[in-house]
Amino acid sequence: MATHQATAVGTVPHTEVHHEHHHESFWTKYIFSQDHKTIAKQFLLTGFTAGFIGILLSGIFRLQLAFPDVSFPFLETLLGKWAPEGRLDPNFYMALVTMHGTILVFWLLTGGLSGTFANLLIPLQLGARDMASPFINMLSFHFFFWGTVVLFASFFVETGPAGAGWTVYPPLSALPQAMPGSGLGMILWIIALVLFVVGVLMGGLNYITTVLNMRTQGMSPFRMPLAVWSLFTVAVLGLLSFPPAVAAFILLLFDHSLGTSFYLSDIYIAGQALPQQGGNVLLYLHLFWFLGHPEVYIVLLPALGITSELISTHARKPIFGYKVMVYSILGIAFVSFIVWAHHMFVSGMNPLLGSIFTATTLLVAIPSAMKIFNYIFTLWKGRVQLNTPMLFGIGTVSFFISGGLTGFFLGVAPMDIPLHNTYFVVGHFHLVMGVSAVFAMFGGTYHWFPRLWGRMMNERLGYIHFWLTFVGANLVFFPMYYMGFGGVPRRYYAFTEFSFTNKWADLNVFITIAALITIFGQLIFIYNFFHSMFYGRPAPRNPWKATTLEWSAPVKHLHGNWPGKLPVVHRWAYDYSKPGSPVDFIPQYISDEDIARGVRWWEEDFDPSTVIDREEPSGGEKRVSAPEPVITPLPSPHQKPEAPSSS
Amino acid sequence: MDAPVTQERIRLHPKELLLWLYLGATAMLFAGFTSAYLVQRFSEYWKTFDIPVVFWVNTVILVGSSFTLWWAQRGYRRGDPWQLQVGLMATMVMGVVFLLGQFLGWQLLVRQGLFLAGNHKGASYFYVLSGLHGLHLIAGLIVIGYWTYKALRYQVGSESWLGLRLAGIFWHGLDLLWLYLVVFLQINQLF
Repeated sequence: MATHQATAVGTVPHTEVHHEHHHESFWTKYIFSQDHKTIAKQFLLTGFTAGFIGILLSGIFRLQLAFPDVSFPFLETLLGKWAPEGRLDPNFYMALVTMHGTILVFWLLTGGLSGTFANLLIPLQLGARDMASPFINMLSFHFFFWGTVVLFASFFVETGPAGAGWTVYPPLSALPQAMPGSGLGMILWIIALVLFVVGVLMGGLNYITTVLNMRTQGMSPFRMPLAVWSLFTVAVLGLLSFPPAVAAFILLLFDHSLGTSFYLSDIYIAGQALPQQGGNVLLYLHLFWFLGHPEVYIVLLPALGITSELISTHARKPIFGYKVMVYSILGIAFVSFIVWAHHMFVSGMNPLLGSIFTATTLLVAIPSAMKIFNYIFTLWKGRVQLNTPMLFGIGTVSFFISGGLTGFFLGVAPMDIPLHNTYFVVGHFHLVMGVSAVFAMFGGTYHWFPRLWGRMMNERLGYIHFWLTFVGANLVFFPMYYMGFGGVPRRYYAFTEFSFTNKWADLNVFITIAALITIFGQLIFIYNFFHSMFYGRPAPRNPWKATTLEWSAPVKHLHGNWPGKLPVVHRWAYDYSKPGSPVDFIPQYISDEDIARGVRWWEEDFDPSTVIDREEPSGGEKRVSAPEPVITPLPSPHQKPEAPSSS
Repeated sequence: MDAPVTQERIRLHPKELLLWLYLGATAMLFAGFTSAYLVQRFSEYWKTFDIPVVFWVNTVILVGSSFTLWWAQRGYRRGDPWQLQVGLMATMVMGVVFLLGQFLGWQLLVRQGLFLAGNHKGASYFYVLSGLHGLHLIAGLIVIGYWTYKALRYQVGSESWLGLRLAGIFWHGLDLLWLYLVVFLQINQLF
């Protein structure tokens, strides 16, 4: 619908480069911006803010797990009635766990990660002036933002935020009388998620269209950087998997508030039988995990795509097995749709089905292992520069290995049954998709910060941040495997009640201390981020000597990205250390003629537009601007519309 | 690897591709709902009911509105403002009549004792599916209304071809969606 309005209103055709006389107010420049680079910044800041609040919540419930009998008066100051006398309320504990999961999985690692890097990289790395529809792109952020507002608003309602876990399984989530966290907080959770999904889908539609339709001349699919490949694939995944989840949430909302019984049957609360009959909880599980599993890759694939850029650029070597990387992205995406029931091995489904899903789950290992090998072989004999982005890139790969290997245990039904809902699962998914994707997001931020804000981030603080987070995350999540094997269940309020869990009390204290140090270690990043934004060293145009197109645009952001023509692409994205080349990188817009002409693209003061604007016009520009309607002044009443030539 | 490769680009306008992708997402939403329907359809609590004929009358009206829209677009291509105006207005009216007809149908269902709330899943799904389709159709009516307004004020020129084309695709998509839903719901009441 918005498509039509966007069309009808008509945007300035992007081919005409007259950026200087744009008069932008504060509102159109920073709030309702239609510039993909500003929208990327908006996603980054919103995602990181939400994410930081999300990990602070985990700090509060970790405190409870480590010291269930200790009173912390500051909690009462902070949380009021949710921590009477400094002791966390059990219902609020559930709400914290739920909100932590929701914020981190959806807001930081889906909206924040894809939203930031897809918006920044897709147009810039493909040589496009902007997204296919900048207007829908703006709406995408605003839906995301208002989803965030609604989600956080649920902290301030009488009954508190949703409390049924981030997967919000019914019947707990569908019965307002079941617990405080199933009241208004649950409704707000569903509304927030629906707004979020609408935002993500609007973004995704744009990403797909831009990749398919707006690549610059010479940017054939197999010359695209892997970051773009993965962000494109993720947009397709989202398009196919989010709508069924919305269906699940809508049915849940009907059950919750309108008296239907899609998921509810045979329930007694306090001895009272509820009237709902004939519903099916398994239905919700299937609908949810049909999103839920691809969601893991919606988080992970952009992380791996970013990591490919980081590792190749900072190892000064072409990515090893580029096409294998592309096919493994597509392979992972395909397989992710036929594995969802491995989250449901204990739900009482048919054992035959269980073994089928075990087999498909193990298939994921093949493309994943191919990616790991390719990362390692890219590093092998590279000129590895251990700067902050590279460290975070390697960190991503390391967590992908240490978390991914434990996926074998959980993917096999007979092993999963004893481990289901234990801390083993918590350790597994935090390492393989949580920390690994967060590391890629950090790495990407350090790497593309000069592209976003035109300044460099501080390297030394980056090192400290990396080592603190890397060691901290391992200390937090590795012991959880151990506890999981011991049978410690997740989502429990206190472990001191049971003798078999009580023996892990010391380990819980250890994990909590490690977690708190790691959480507060992120303040280093926050300081570095904001300090560098204003006072960082001004960045040169291509600080990392990278080959991809985003570094050929001027440091100062232009609406339309390139001041003159669009770059024409002459080579793939990874011409690092090419034999015979004078330096160890050849940007994509440099042709062999340019090299023969003696263009010195590696020099600090080299201006890429001298090469880009010199290019003979051969249709590259036309490609980007497929006919964009321009509203003409009102025609006279009886003027007949002309027949359009194209139809 | 060095010669600039000129590529065949996709011949769809980016905004048309966007719309097709959007329709794909909508299809996935309703695929989610109807597969949920199929999962529950075989439970012991499932009861069938007679779908009032008015829903089929509505279906004919909605399909008819697609034809009037096509006729209007044909008028636009032929350069006939009158045909464009009449066609768009007819589409608009038929869309509104469809929605009113749906309301009438729901009234008849209520008279049969079939409500959204309660344990009659078939009825619950019927309301959810037809209601969500109705919401989408309201969006479609806003779009058609916009173009009707423009056409009546003679503000539709050669630059409007894309917008009109997209409006048509969207409207036909909603039409097709309803056809799918009504056939699906009817088949599931037969046995």
